[in-house]
This record gives sequence, structure tokens and C-alpha cells, in this order.
Amino acid sequence: MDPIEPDAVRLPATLDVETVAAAHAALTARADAALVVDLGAVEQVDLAGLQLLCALVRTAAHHQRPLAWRGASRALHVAANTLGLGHVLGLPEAP
Amino acid sequence: MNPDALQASLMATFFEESFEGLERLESGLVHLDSDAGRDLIDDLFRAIHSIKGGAGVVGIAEVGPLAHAIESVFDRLRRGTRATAEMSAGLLRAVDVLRSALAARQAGRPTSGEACERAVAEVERLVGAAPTTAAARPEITLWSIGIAPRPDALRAKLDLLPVFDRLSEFGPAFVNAEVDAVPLLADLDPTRSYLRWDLMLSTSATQAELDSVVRWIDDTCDVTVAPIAAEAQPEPDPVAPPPAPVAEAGPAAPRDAREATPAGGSIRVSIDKIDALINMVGELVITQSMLGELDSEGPLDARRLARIREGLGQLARNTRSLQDSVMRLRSMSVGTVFNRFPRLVRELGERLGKEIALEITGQNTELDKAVLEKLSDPLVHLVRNAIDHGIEPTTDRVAAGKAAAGTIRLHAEHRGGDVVVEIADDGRGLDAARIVATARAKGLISADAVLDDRAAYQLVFLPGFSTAKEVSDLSGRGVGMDVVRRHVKELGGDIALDSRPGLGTRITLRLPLTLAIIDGQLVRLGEHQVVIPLLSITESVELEPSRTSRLGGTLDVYRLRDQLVPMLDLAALLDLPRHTGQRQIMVVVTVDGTQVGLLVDEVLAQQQVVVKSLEANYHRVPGLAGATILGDGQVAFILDVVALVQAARAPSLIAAAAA
Repeated sequence: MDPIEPDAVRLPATLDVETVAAAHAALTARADAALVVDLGAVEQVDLAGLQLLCALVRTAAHHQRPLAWRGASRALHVAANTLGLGHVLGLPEAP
Repeated sequence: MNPDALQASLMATFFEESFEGLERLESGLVHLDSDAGRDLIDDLFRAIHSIKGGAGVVGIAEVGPLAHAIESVFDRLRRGTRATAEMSAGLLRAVDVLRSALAARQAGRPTSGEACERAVAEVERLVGAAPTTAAARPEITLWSIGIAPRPDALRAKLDLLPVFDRLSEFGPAFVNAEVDAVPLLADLDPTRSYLRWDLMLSTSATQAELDSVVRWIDDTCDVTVAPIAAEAQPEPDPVAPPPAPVAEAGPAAPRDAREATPAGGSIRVSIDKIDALINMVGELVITQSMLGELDSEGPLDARRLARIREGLGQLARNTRSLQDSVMRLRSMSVGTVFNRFPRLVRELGERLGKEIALEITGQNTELDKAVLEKLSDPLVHLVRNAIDHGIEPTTDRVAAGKAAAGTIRLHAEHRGGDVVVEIADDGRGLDAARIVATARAKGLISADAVLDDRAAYQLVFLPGFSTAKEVSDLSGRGVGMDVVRRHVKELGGDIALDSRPGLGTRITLRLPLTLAIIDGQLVRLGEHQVVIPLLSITESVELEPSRTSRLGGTLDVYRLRDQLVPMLDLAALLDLPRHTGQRQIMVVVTVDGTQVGLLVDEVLAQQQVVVKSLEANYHRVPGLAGATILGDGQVAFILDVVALVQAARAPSLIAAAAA
């Protein structure tokens, strides 16, 4: 796996409706520049978490700013693909 | 992408992948009873599973039950049922039915549902499944399931995963997530739900069964479950609720899909090849900028001229590499054709009661897709010949002290700038005496002609020649080696046959890598320039009159070192006006070991030429492989060296073949 980049936004192990507001704030604060988002820790995700990632992808695309994912757990992949969001998010290969 | 275009591209991808899958199934099934490892079964399972799923998604429902039945057999095998030869033969037949059903749909013809149903019944018999499965689940319906979580669904901890998992257990599902309503980060309320889904599910499950699943979430979501008419195409409508049944809109969509499918066919290209191409273009850009820098004010001095020369040299190299890379895009491995043979060999062997092993080597050799496609039929014919006529019945083999099992070898390799494909068997070999007798009886050769074995073998290439005592449905179908040879020659290739009595027969096909571009040697004949394919040229010599002589009053030969080389007057052959005076240069060309000297006035530059077909632009001319347009705009003909050499080798044969 890639070494953790110092300027990457690292999302928490549980990205769900309880934690999504904090993650949203962290991402919004950084979303005006090229962004590296470290998903390596995310093990649990719900619809709210996935929806946040969708919004991030749409925002980056809208402003034509680069967005890069780092790491993505098997669980995240399964959730995204099952819900038909795999191609929207374009997550990196699962470890 | 509009829905029609999306549907068309979905269909195109589905067909491409399905036919690939069927090929995988076919080549795998041949080994099923002998070598049924877990990996093989898993691979075959995946292949049929994708076809089943894809067929459901693109709305080709009629193949679903058959694909499902085949899949069930693999499932049984996974759980330890033993594969039998009968099973693999039955599955191969089912694969054929599936293929023709898909081919029919691809071509826009209706499929024979009956054939599919019969095949389902047959496949189910293979594993002793009760045919009730087929009767109980005959109706596969495409369902559209719309799921729109209400805004507060996230806070209510809606979990859709188990619902989607459960639904996809009913049958292949295509999940379309609608994300357009999700706002940008700045406007996002992260705990409010904006997403929607439209699932397309192909299943035999009933509405009640589906309803019972979606009921799990109907407290937080607006859910609709509606069947789509069998022929209607799924048309995910992003915002509106899923479409109600639209029976009358049905047949239109598939037809549009077909029309939008490109007729020229498609090809899968590996990333390596694309990368090589991109590299080349990069180099070209560098060269272009280097040359561009030289195009500035100032004197054109020696230094600058040298730079320009260097740049032009680089440009030539780049162009050449670029051309190679582009040509490689069209190339495919011979394996795609070879892979069909294990089944053919096995089935024909069984029918004839012959035990035959097939050895395939060099299957990764690549050649032009167009050449490869046209190679398939001749190869099938040659392999059938080898099985039918070449390999002896087991008893004869044992009596002759040979291994009971015959062997057929298929081999491909790059040799020089050509691709060589060999089909060899260790059978009884050709019977020269019988060939000569047949040729005499048919009036193909005169009664007193004396031919050595090698010359006798070449007689099998004559039109209408067949020594089969009785016409079998395998190979003796009136078309024979002459047709094979014609096909190969149309590809710009050549065919050679070698046989040893009692030891076997080997047929060698030599094919061009590509049909589009060749390396040529320009030669001058009076006012005209002619291109001789460089690959066939061995040397050019200045004639010494003392070394020429005339044999039999018609054939001029040249004593080249210790060999007599027949000389052909190119100008006379091509009906060009005769140049005054003796021609001075002889270009020696070699085809399969036979040398022929072509008399020309002058040997000019070597260059690559783009072959323009004479058939397409004019009509076929014996002795010419095509034409090209030279740098100065002049048209030059490209010689068909094989035909010329044959003319020199056996004038009567080429006359007969051309007739």
C-alpha cells in the first residue's frame, strides 16, 4: 500500500450516518484544491458514507479538480459494487 | 450517452463477451472428463454465468433457461459429481445451441426457443435432474425495481445491502444507481438521502416473492416492482419512478440496438499495444518539434542540413515503428483459431473410431485478423483431411507397429516476415501411385507422364482431384485441396505438402503477417516500375551471357554457381513492351526452395509499399499480387512471386490452376 501522504484526508474506520457529518466537514474544508483521500482505514460504511463519497466525486468533477483515492477495503468495494456505485466512485483495487 | 446508444453498446459488449465465453466453454469442455480440475470447472462456471447474467440484462430471455441448466451442471460438478464423456459431449451440443441462438439474435433473426427448450431438457438429463425444474420455471421475466429512499431514510439506518443481495439471488441483476440528485459537498446535507436505484432483475420469481423482499424497506423507501415486457429493453429513467409495463414499446429497442452496432466488427486490443502506439506518437512529436526548430530564419548551412537529415532519418524510423505498432493492433494470436480444433479432432475421432491426440504449439503467434479469419476454413479442411484420410484405423496402426493413437500436430511460428502454419499427422502418408493413377484416369496428366513422388503429391492441388474411394461427409465433399490452395493464395500465402509413406503428411502454409503493407524492391522494366516483394528475393546478379543456355527449346536457364536457375522474362510475362537489347540484371526469387530468375532492366530502391487490391479496384490479374502508388504518384504493380515461381516450376500446372 502507498505510504500515508501527509496531506491526505484520512477517513475513519466507520463511515456511517453517525460520523458522516465530521467527515463531510473535513472534506468540505479541503475540497477547493486537489485532494487525496485515504480510505485505507474505512471498514464499515453505510449509505450515508457512500453518498458522501459520491458527493465528493461529483464536486471534484464539477470544479475539475483532481481527486485521488488511497486504499479501499474489501468491505468498501463490496458495498459500493453491490449498490451499483462502483463505477461512480472508481475506487482503487482492493488490497 | 442516450439510452439507445447505451443499449447498443451494452448489446455489442454482451455479444462479444458471450462468444468469447462460448469459445472458452468449448475448449474447456473437451477436457472435462479427462482433466476436470476445480480450476477448469470454476472457469467454465464463470463463463456460462456471465452469459446468463448478460443475457438477462440485455433482454435476451430465451437463452436464460439453457444457460441456467448448463450452469447447474457445473454446479453439480463443483459439488463432486463426476464428469463423464457423455456429459461433456452433451454440454458441447448445448453450447452449440446457445451459440446459434445468440448469433441469431445478433443478426436480428428470431431465435428458436424450441431448440433451446430441447437443449435444456437434454442438459438436465445429463445430471439426472428432474425435468420439473424446467416446467416449474419456464417464464423468465425482466423486472424493474425502483427504490427511492425517503429523505430521512439514512437517519433511520436504512441498509440496502441485504435487500440487493437477496434480490440478486433470484437471478442476474443490473443495478443502476442514480447519483445526479446528490448535491455538491457545499450543499450536501450528509444525513439526508439523495440517492435512488433502479434494479433490473431477470428472474423466474413471482411478483409476490419480490414484494416479500422489498417489504423489508418499504417503511423508509418508495418502492415499485413492475415487470418489463419480455422484449422491451430496460431503460433506466433516472428521476421518474421506474417504468410501468410497456408491452407496445417492446420490439423497437432491440432493432435500434442492432442498427447502431458497427457492421465492421470489433477487435480487442491489449493495453501493451496501445501503450506502444502512444510511445511512438510521443517520439513522432519529438521529431516533429526537432524539425520544426530548424524551420527558422537563417542560412541553410551544412550544420543545419545535417540536422535536417538526422531529423528525417528519425522520422523514417518513427514512421516505421508507428506502422508496425498500428499493424500489431490488427493482429490476433493463432490460438483463437487453433482452440477450435480439440473439439473437432475429438468428435471426428470418435465418429471414425480413431484414437487421436492433438498437439498444438506456437498458438501465441500473432497475425493479421483478416488473414486469421480467412485461415479458419482451410485449416478445418486440412485437419479433417488428416483425421479422415491421414490417420489410419487403430488396428492398421497397431499392425504397422505404430502407436495406437494417431497424432496431429498444429504449429505456428514467425519465419522471416511470414507466419508459417503447419498441420502434420503421423498417419499413412500419401499414396503416390494411387494419386498418379487417379490423375491419369481423370485426364489431368497424360498417360505417359512420369512423375516422382514429390511431383505426384502436388497433383492433389488440382481442381476436382479426389482419391477418396467413397465420398464421406467429413472431407470428401467435392471441395478439396484445390480450394484450400486457392484460399491460401488469395491471402497472399503459399501451401506446400510433404509426405512420407507410412510416416505421415505435413502441410505447410506460409502466410503474410499482414495484407496491407509489404517491403518491396522496385525494379525497372523499360518505362515501367514493378515491385518485387523483398522477402522472396535472395539475390540480384548481373548476367554473364556465357552462363545462359536454353533447355528444351523453350526454357532459358542461368548457371548460378552450381545451380541451373530458370529465367523468366518479366516484361513478356506482364505483356509490357519489350525493351531493346538484352536485359542485364536477374533478380533471383525463392519460394519453398525453388529459385527463379526474373530479368529486369534495373534494380531501383527498396521501399515499403501499401498494397492496393487489384480485385477491389480492377480485377484479378494472374501473376500480380496488387498495385501500389509510388512516392511520385506513379502506379507500380506488385508481383505475385508464388505464381511466377509455379509458372516456372510446372507451366502446365499453373495453366490448369488458372483455367
